[in-house]
Amino acid sequence: MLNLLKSDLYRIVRRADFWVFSALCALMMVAVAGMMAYFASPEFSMMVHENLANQADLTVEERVEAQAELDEARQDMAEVELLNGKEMHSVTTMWANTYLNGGFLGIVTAIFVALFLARDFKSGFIKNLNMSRAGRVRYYAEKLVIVALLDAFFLALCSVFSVAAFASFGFTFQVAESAGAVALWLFLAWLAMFAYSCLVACVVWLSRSEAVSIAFAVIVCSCVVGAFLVQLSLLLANAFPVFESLQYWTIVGGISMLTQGADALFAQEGAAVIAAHYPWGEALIAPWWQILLADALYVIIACVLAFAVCRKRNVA
Amino acid sequence: MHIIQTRGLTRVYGGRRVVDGFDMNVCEGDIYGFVGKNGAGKSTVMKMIDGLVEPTSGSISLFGATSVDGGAEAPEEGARQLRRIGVLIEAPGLLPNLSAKDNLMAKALALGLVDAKVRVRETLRMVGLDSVGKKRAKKFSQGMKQRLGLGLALIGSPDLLLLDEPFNGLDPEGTRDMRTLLERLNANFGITMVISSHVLDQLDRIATRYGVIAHGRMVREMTADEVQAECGDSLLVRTADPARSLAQLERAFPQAAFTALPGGAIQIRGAFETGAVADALHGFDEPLLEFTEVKRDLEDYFVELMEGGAHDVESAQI
Repeated sequence: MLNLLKSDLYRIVRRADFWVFSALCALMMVAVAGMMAYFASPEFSMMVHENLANQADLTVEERVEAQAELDEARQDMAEVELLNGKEMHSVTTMWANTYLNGGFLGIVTAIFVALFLARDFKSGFIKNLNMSRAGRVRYYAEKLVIVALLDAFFLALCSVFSVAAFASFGFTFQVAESAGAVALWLFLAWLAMFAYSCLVACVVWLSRSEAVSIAFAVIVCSCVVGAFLVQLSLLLANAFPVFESLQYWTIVGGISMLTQGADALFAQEGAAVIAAHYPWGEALIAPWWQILLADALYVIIACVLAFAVCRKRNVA
Repeated sequence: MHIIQTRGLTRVYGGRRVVDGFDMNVCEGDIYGFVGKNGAGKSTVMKMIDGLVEPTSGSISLFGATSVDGGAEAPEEGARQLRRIGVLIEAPGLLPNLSAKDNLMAKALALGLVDAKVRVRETLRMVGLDSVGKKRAKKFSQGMKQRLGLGLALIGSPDLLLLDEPFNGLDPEGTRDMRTLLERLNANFGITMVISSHVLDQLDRIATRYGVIAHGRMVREMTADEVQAECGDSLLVRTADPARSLAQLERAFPQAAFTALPGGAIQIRGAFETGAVADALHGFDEPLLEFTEVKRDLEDYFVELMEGGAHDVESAQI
């Protein structure tokens, strides 16, 4: 398995699309930070006020009021520190809003995973590998490991570049989270991405089609399906309360909990705590535990599919 | 020693027996010409031997050890045996966006070869791609792709090569180079080869044994000498008493091969002279009804065998 891993790493770093995807991630982080910096700037604030004042359909009173606000803003402008508007809640909420919420990282990693895994079948390179029964077990196990590494790489890349980009634009954080909380948040974010990638991997191995796999990656990992499931579960919950906790069992549900930041993961009381239904009844638990359970479940399902179904399929 | 021995090998796809009770024997050092029509089951047999497709039933013995027996396999033993096989089945499995060198390196690393870089250089030289090692595989001509495919099959220093249509897409010079390379690998390194090809004149120059497949069944296995003996020009003789004539001819020409055909005709092949046979028949004092010289090349011979095999299969099914 180690040999296959070495071979895949060799292939990945020599693929142009790996560097394209990496550059895309880095550029996206810089672009988001730049955009946020612009939104937080006094110039942007002034522009909004001016636009408001110039709106044609305002009444005379509204126009006078808007003009007064604008004058007041102009007076304050000189006193306003540039960084005042550039304060974010915490590093993990910044990460969540930059690459996790909305599905950017999920889509990027899932599409890359789909392209990389489908290539073996599309090109026929898999015929060059040892595909005895033992060989197949090693093949699928190694692919799951390489997928985990790719998820970790893209997560690390986005995290580092977003911190660097936000710092370079002068952003600061209100809350300093503990290293342990940040590490747990990163681990759970990685697990969510890994769960997505494992599902994509299974689709690649079952369909052997690059197009089908990419379509699945885009639809599922962009949170479209997850958001639909969450809405459906809330709708069904009106009639069947048990469905209320279904949202916590989706990957999207986990991501939305991660959006609240690392500290919220440990909530034992208040809005953040989860009332999840389990086979043994309802339980109030900390969000991090629920995310871990839900995402691990998807990973286990994918592993079972890979080793019980995909492995037994003929290679060519 | 048998490098490949299959017994009752069967593969069913959607109720259709693509390979049906297939028996094959490939000995060490053979260049085994694997001949059959399109869809006869050649590629499926090769894929089953290489573990890419699992047999529905039957056994495959590789290098003297049974690796697959009706689907039950000793996993590690199977993996060890497959490491000794290099394959080029259907299209060469190249990674199009990587260079020839990187393609070979990817496989060398996957095999865990010691000194992978050296082995890659050697393989590139061996298949004549050392000058274009840095060129991306997708920019290669079909012939170069075939050669790189062969390089991928060779990089693990295999003891057995399974080559499915290795002459596909090659120009005459490329075909000759490929044939010479295969001969050299067999002669210098003792690599056993199973080569399926429709280019029978190329196969004729290198094969030491043949196997003919029709409708998923082995029609016949024979040595190259046997093919030569049976495939050359033949005589078709018909007399009033075929049984007596056959006995007399067998006595007079012990080196020749005789076949009694339906309708009382006798086919004579192998070591004989037409004039001598004619003289002998006159001497037997038998009324001669037909005496025809039949010209037949390798292609006709194999087509006849394949169609004969197909006919046998259909008869068996009825």
